[in-house]
Amino acid sequence: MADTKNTKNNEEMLSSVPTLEEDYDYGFSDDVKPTFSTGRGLTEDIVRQISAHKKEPKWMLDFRLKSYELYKKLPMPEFGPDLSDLDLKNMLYFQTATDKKYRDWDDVPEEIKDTFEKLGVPEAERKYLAGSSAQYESEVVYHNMKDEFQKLGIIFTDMDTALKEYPDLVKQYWAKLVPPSDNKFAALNSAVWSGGTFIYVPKGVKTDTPMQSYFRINAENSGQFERTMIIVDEGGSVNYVEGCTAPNYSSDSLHAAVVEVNVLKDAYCRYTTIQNWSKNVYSLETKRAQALENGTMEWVDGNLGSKITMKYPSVYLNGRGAHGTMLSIAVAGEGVDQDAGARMIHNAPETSSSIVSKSIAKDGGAVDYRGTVRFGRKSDGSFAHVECDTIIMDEKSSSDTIPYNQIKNGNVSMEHEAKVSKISEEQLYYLMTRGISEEKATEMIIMGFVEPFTKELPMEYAVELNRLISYEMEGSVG
Amino acid sequence: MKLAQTLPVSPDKVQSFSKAHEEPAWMTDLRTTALNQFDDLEFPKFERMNYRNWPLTNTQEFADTVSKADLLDKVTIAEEKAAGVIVQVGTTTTKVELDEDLAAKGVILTDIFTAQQKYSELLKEYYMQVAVKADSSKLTAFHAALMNNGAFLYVPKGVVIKEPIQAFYYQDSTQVQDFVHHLLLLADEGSEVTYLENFGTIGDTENIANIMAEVVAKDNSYVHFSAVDQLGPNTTTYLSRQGHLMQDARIDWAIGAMSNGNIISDFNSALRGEGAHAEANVVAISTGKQVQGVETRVTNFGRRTIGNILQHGVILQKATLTFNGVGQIVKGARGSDSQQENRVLMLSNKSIGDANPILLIDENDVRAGHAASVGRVDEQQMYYLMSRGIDKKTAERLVIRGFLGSVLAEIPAKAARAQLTETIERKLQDGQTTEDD
Amino acid sequence: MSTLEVKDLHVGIDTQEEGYQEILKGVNLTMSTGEIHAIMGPNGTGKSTLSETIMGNPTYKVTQGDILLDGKSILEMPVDERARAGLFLAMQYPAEIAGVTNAEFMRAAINARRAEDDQISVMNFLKRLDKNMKILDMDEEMAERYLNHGFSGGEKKRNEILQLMMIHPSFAILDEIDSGLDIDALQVVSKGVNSLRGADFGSLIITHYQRLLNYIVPDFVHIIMDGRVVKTGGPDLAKKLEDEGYAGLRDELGIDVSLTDDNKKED
Repeated sequence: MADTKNTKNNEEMLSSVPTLEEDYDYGFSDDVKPTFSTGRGLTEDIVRQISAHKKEPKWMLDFRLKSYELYKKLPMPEFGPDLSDLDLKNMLYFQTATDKKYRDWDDVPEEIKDTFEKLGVPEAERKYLAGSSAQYESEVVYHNMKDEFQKLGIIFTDMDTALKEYPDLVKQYWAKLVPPSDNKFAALNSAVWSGGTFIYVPKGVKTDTPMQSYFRINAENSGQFERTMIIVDEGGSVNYVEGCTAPNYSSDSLHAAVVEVNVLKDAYCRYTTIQNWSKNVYSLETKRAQALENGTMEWVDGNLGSKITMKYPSVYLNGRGAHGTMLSIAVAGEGVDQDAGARMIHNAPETSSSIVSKSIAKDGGAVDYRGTVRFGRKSDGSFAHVECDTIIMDEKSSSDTIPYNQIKNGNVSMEHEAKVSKISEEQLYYLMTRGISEEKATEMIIMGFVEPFTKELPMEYAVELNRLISYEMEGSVG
Repeated sequence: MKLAQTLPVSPDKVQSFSKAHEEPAWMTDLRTTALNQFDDLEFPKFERMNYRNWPLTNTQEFADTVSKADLLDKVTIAEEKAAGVIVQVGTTTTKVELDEDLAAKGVILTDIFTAQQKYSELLKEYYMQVAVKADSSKLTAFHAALMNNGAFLYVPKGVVIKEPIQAFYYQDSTQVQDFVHHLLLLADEGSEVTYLENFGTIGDTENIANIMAEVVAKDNSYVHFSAVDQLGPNTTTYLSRQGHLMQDARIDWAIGAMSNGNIISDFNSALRGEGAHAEANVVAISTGKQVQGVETRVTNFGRRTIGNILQHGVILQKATLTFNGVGQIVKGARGSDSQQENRVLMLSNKSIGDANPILLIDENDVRAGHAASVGRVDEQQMYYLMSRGIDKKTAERLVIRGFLGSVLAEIPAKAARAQLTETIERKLQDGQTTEDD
Repeated sequence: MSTLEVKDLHVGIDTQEEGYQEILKGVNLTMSTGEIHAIMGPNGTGKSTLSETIMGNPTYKVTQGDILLDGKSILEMPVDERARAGLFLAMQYPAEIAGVTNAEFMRAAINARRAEDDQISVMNFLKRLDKNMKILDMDEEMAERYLNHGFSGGEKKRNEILQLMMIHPSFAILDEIDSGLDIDALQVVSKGVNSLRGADFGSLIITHYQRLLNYIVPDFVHIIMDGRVVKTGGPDLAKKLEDEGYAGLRDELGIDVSLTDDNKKED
């Protein structure tokens, strides 16, 4: 089924890459369970408690303990945004979904309620997104989808269930792409992970229906330390969507997920994330994929909120003809630092990759692109294209573009382009000569700017994202 | 070998060196202060360049040793019409010539020790005070403490020098000796000058070099600065060129980074005054097992400043070339422009190339952009040349020369241009020969 | 009836190299709806400056004089207000905006002129668009392409006229709408403009060549040289100019101005 030899060979390459990546959250659970929380702070005992509570196999406990030791040793990332305010000692590392303190709807900040109103978010969803409800009424949709997937032999469940029901499959791929030694937050996730999604698509099975994490229930997937794993077997295809455009209020100040995607020979995976955390959240995620022979991995990634985001999804192009893409937008408003990018690692001949990054900084926000394209010794005939465009809306905002391009093969080509500017005065003038107001014209230009991204989203996400941007642009002129 | 964290040089030795050269007290102080600060300072950080194992601060002998007389005759000098010429070998200055009319107008061209004595006040104000400070890093402090040769060029207000001033600086590696060379080029208000420097190495002793050029371009001045760097394979070098540009000043850099040993080149232009403008053109070739890092940085501080970086590099054999371009626009530099282009040609599967074009933008009323590419020799061009009967290797060299031509064209002196072309040709030929093995 | 008056207009721009440069040195011009005016003149004499200044391009600084629409000064009005007040400028080099479709843009432009609760319905919009695109012989897919993005020169010109027809302003300024058009395209574009002719529409046509004026016959022709209107007449003036050239007219009027473009071919 899987090319384990190949996977092993690549471990060495993978572990040599210091990576720090993203996080998100989309959980909801209606399963009423006894209260269980490990309290604040992290000790070895807590790691053991988590594993025991989940009745995990011994190898997983060992893995968690080893990861915990690494977590203690590894340094904080030495690049990018300032993480010195992140209080790791005073954090809740494990709680079941039902223990979460749900806030009174009256306590939800007006700003967030306003945004829901503007976006036309349904009433039931609002409470969930605002963190005042664990419920989400999508059971019917979910079950319909689940039936369809079951017929095809697709496994689509939460990570904890997958570990119980498919232990061999999980173990085979577990932490092969993101070893706990990768970075401090990958180690932390490895030690205390809970929830997340597991998808297995069998050989040759293709689905058109996007699998949305939105429609999963009964899972402890609302955690801060999700672990997601996707395996698309040879010739299979899957389109996975997570997150949501509307602001997602989280009481957790740190989200450190790990995502591992294995795209086997001739397989295809698109992984779409839209993330709009509230501005108290540190979103530090490690997302990594490998694509084997003629496999295609596509990341579609939108980051709209959070206090600090550090997320650089990567694709290891490990088989001949493998293809990887990253299409991202980042919008940073007041108090937001989006440090995001992508990594494309060409380890095999005739591989290709493309990175398109669109960023907008406004009201004092910072958007940084940080990326790597690497061509290994065996990457003959490979090609990479990188395009970074940034609009800085006002003089309070800023943007850094930091691309690394390393080449160890003479028979490759790489093109990189980046632009940073304010909104084009020429375009603004043109639209205004047709009677369109400056505010509306600005909005149109911004929409056009992010259009390459929105056009790749499922319709309901695209509509919502456009509304959100329109809302964000209000008052940004004059 | 590891970088020395503490300098094995006593303050006494520095002081006696300073005394032997009859340096003014401020210079002796500058040296001893730098020596004292060395321990506490950090090594400069260059993205994606790791030089921790390089012996850059492992001084062997910095004080004067006499270069053999026959060596001094060996150096070749371009016979082009020049406004001035200075030749230095090791710690010796062998020739200084300056057009009489220019001298009468107040232009100064001399070695750094004479300059300290005769123009002490001018040097005191600018020597490692404006474009770069001695306490910027361990490497600048090393330089300040142990500087053992150099030159001073001053162009007075409003003086325009048409012909180039040519400088030839040879490291003497027939013996053990550090090469710590300093240039101070001061272009006063409204002046214009074309300066061309050549660095080379005679001999194959393993030595270190710490080279620094400070260019202070005052209001409305225009400096054309060309350089051909050809330090030898056994020299480990830190080479720094620092431009400080005041209102409406301009510096055009045209640099051929053709050294054969491990080297870090640190080129920087600080656009301090409103309307200042810097063009930084760099070409580099890495061959053999050489590790070459080039960081070209332009920082827009003033309003309406323009900074353009153009870097083209070729990598052969098992060599490494890391090209960093850094365009930074600080808050308040409204109406500024920062553009860069980094292009690398890879001719070998065993080489390593890095092209890292970095933009750091803190202002919105600006234009900033970069492009980078890494690739092979253009096949269309190769096909065209070979269809005319030119063999593959020659065709390849021709295409590469075209690729590097952008900087070549910027070098004003014909002889220097020819010399750089020749150097490129030789380096490429060497690279191609071993490529087959 | 609407009127557009340009009174003793002095306009200049700030250039990087040479500082402030005066381009218009006292232009006077009055036009009403129902009339077509043509402005002709050699390159670099301020034709485009006049059109951009009327529209409100912030690059151009008015130092003296006034521009009045129905007796009221529009100098303080930002460009979008001027547009909604009834002015339209078909540009020589329209901006390209990727990501924004042509149709989306034109709907926004039409809706900008209508009340919030009276926005044009998609059906009505498409009907109008369809009709006008047929007149201009434009491919349907042009509506869904990104605004001017990757359009050829001719496509851009047609697209400017399409917007003109969709918006139907009181006054349209056409800035060298004929440049770069072949004869077929020129006829199509003229057809579009002529379809708007009527008591509620006036146009100011800026051109180098008399040719366009065979298709859109003007009521008045103004010659501009060195920042001033030096002669005004009927359609015959344009024909005369075609025969004698600007140099002939200059000499006839005894104006001291060098025509650097006399021998230059238009691109």
